[in-house]
Amino acid sequence: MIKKVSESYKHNILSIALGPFIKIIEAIFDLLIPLFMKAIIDLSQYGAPEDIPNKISSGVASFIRLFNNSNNTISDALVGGFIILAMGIVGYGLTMISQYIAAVCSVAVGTEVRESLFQKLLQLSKKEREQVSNSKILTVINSDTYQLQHGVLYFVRLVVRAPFILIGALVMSFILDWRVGLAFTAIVPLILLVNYLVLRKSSKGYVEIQNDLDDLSNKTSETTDGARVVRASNQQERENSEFSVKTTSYQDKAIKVNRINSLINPLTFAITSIVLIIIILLLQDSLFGPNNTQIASTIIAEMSYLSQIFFVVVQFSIVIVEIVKANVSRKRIDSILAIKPSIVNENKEYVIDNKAPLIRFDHVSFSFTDDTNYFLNDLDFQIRKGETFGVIGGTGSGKSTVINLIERFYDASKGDVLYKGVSLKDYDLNDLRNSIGLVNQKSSLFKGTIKSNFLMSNPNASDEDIITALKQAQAYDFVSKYEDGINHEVNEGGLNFSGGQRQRLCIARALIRKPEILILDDSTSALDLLTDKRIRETINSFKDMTKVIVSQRVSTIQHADYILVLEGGQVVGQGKHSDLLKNCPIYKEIYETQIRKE
Amino acid sequence: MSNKQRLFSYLKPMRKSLVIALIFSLLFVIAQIAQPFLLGKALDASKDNNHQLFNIYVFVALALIVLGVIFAYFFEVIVMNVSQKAIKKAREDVYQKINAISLKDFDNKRHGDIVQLEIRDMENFAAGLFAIFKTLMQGIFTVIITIIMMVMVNWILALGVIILTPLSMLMAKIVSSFSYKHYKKQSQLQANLSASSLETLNNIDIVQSLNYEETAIKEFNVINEKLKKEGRIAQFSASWVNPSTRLVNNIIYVIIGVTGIIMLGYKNELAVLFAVMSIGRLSSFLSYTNQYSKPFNEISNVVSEFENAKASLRRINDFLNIEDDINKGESSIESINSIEFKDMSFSYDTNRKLIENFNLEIKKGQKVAIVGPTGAGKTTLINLLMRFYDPNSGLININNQSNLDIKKESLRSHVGMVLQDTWIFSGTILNNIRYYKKEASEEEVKEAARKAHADIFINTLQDGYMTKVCNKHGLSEGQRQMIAIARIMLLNPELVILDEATSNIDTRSEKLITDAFDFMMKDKTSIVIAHRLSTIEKADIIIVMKDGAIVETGNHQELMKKEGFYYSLYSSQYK
Repeated sequence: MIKKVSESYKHNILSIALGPFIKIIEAIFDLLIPLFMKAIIDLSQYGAPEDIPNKISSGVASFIRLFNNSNNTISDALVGGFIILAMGIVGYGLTMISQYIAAVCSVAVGTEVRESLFQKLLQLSKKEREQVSNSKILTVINSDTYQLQHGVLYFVRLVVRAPFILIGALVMSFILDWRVGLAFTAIVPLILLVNYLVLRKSSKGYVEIQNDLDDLSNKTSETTDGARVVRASNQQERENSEFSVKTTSYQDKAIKVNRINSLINPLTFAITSIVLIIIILLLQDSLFGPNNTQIASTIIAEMSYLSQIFFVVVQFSIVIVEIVKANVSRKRIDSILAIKPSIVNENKEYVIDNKAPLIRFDHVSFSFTDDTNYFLNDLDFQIRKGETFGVIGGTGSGKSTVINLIERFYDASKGDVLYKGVSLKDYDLNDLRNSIGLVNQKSSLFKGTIKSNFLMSNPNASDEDIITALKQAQAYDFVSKYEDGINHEVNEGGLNFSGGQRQRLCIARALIRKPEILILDDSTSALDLLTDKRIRETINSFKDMTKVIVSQRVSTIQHADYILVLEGGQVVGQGKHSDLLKNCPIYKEIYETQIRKE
Repeated sequence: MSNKQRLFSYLKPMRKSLVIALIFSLLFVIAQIAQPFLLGKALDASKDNNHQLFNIYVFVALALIVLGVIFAYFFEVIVMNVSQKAIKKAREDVYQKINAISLKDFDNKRHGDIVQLEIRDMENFAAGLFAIFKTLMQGIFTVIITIIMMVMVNWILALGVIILTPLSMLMAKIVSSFSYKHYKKQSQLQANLSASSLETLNNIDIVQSLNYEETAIKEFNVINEKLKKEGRIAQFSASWVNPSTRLVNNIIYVIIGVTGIIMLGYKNELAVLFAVMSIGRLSSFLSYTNQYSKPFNEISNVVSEFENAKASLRRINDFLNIEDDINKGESSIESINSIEFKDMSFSYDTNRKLIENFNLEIKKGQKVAIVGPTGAGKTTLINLLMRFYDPNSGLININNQSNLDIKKESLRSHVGMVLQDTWIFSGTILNNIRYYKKEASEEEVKEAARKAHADIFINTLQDGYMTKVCNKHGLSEGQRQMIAIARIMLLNPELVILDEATSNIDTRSEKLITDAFDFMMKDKTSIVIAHRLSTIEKADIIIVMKDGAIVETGNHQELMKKEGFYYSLYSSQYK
């Protein structure tokens, strides 16, 4: 696992350096081709290399003659053409090698970074994840890594080649004719400026378009969510006209941006055409002079260089944008890789005290932000082995946070949580979690089959074990109705089951671990009261298992051996149902509003 | 409507613009292609030392550049306008379809897919349209006119280029179809990987509590490794397109160049064959060779855009081809005097029975409560009553008239309902409360909120009633339900339907809201579904449902005396 993106660069340093180097060789060939073309034309017109007035062209022509002893213009052209083709093919081969290197090393970087990010994600504690936000982590894994990969790809392919060709083509054009060279040099900033101005103007427009698109997306998503309400209230017409306002706004903005974007192509055309005319006008004197043949061949070569320059400048601005984007992504990735997980397995030595209560909250306070603004305040209670422990309170009272502290998803900010007499911070994290069966509020399942979900919980479970657990959780009656039984498919999140069915499957999934502690965090809310009761009865028959049941419903926890009443992160009462009715007014009020006997 | 018909239906209203665009495109191409020709001519004129002719050619070339710029610019602008207008129409059509189809068809679709239809598919469609016009229109013109010009300059060389063209096209085709195949595989794997990380993150508490991290990483790595292999090939094959077409074009360029140079040596012999050759002609010809291959490269570059657009158009068209909801009913009703389910059967899925031979009569002013375990069919009854769905057999009569004969709008305008899932749209709380009754004054809204006990939390918000909220976030479940209740309090409808309307509200507020409802529903017809039995004890008639059928009916006292299913449901709450 890497700690920084740059480590992954280092692992691929050879490819990242070699790729661009090979490209340079190919670029040299690319630059030589127009020169050879000119030399061939000149040879055909002058007959001998020595007669060609331009020194460079004359040199190249002599080089062609090295391979051609016949001094015949036709074979000059054929040999020259053959050399150009050979350079083209060798260049193509080199390009392919370099492209392959680029593909391999960019993908290698992306893969390694993704893997490390995923590992990091699983190491982080709940608190750290909440600080970063889940959606950001997902975007970094599923979007930034590709952006980074893309950046490396472009780097290897073009970051050296593009400027090399640009400078090379400029130098060549100077050598052939300095006036043309000057004109080209002047043209490069002009093209860049046009590109820059148009892009800057239109990118602002794109931000607005994107906002409008988000707006359209929200509106559609809202209407699909509210399909029943829209129909029930006969508001279809109004919704349609509201949507139409949004599509009009989007259309107008898209058209506006395009008015600017549409300038690029015509302007490009104008610039190249005008440069061509400038070349001809610049060389006008020579054209009408004695050496006009050699000027014409120069123009052909210069035109080739012009199109190379053009191509490369456009390419270069794309590369810059890609690399800037990749760098932004790199920073985002690094910021996540740099987070130090606060909850790690310390592998400490400790002695279990079997006489101590199974779980003990020793004056525990907890804050989400590392300050003294405590969300849970001075919780002090214990859970004994085998008992049923109920936790009740309204939303936001801190019930689930208590569970998160037992699972060590969070560490206490003040005070200590002890398991079998050992501080959770010292206790082996895997052992702790292996002894707990957690059913949380979300009651979500994993894509796969019912069986695969149970095997995640207990890899050694047999089919019989699974069926037993399903029966205990009152889930077997519906599972047995499937033709494929426990091999029935589970969609993502388990959304092909009803809420009540999911809750029962999740309870069964926890039971199959045969846990020492079973935690039910508001996990029977979608069950009708009869099923809820049957499950409670089955669970209560496991005498060795400690049951921690969190609920908003009094009926779910009133039979517990011990009940903790929370409000606003504080314990406002603890004891048995009958005691609490007497001495905890909040408990009494909850009870009375939920269960009114007449 | 077929996909083609659909496409033409969007383009037809804009045929005038399209014809103008076509003409502009042709003019631009002509201006562009005339450049090398004129400059070649100028070169030849200089060789003949003809200053006057040289100047004319240069001047004409300049004039054509100016014209070309104007033509090219307006061509692009018009084409973009046409595609944007087509998309706007298509978007609105899809949106209206969402609101027009029956809920039966609607519930069969995944919401995410419908949103994608409006966003991604429409964008693909627009990009495809734009690319078709721009690349194809311009490309075809460029090719045709370049061929004409090349033939004019020198027909022997032109023949050579035409013979060599398939080589370039073939190369582009092979390479791009190969890379397209791998790109598709790659994006499939990317989707798998993103689904895998999403699933892990959504369930990370469970993953960590099961000590499943190691295995989860292994599973992730299996996909990641596959992606690495496929990504390598996809990246590599995509990078062939440019160099390969460039190589082929270079080869063609050299062959034409060398042939041209050789032909220069046989000027006089060739002149007999009407294939005049000169340095100027060679120069223009080489320019044409470059220009000629460009459209082919461009078309091969946008092949994937065409494919995407085609697939998107198909999806859009499939959705638009869904029949609108049947709304044959003609008659309107003044009020709801009676509701009667008569031998009615219904199921969402023909393989599984849900409600069979259901009979029930509700009279004006009755307070009806429906109880029963999950999946008993309680909410389905509401769906049928509101005509979100229609029965498979049997009748639902309103005022002794089949509800199929009554206009949906008329029926629904007499009903107010609060559902289990509350819908909040983006906007202020004020507008959310008056969704059903948009003419309501601010005072009326506040009064309704007070009755729903929503004013307490609304007043604590910074902007009060003007606070902006949306469906995804901003309010707790309980607060959302309070807003939904306020909507009904404001509407004050003749028939009130509450489906688990207070399930997310804490028990203390629930009692206050129930009292307010009781007050509002006095002398009105109401249908209440609830898990919590204490809220329904006061109903005139309690319908106890199980597996799609009524198992017991009666008031609370009668049912308790019976000691049947209701009794066991009720007493399980206290034991």
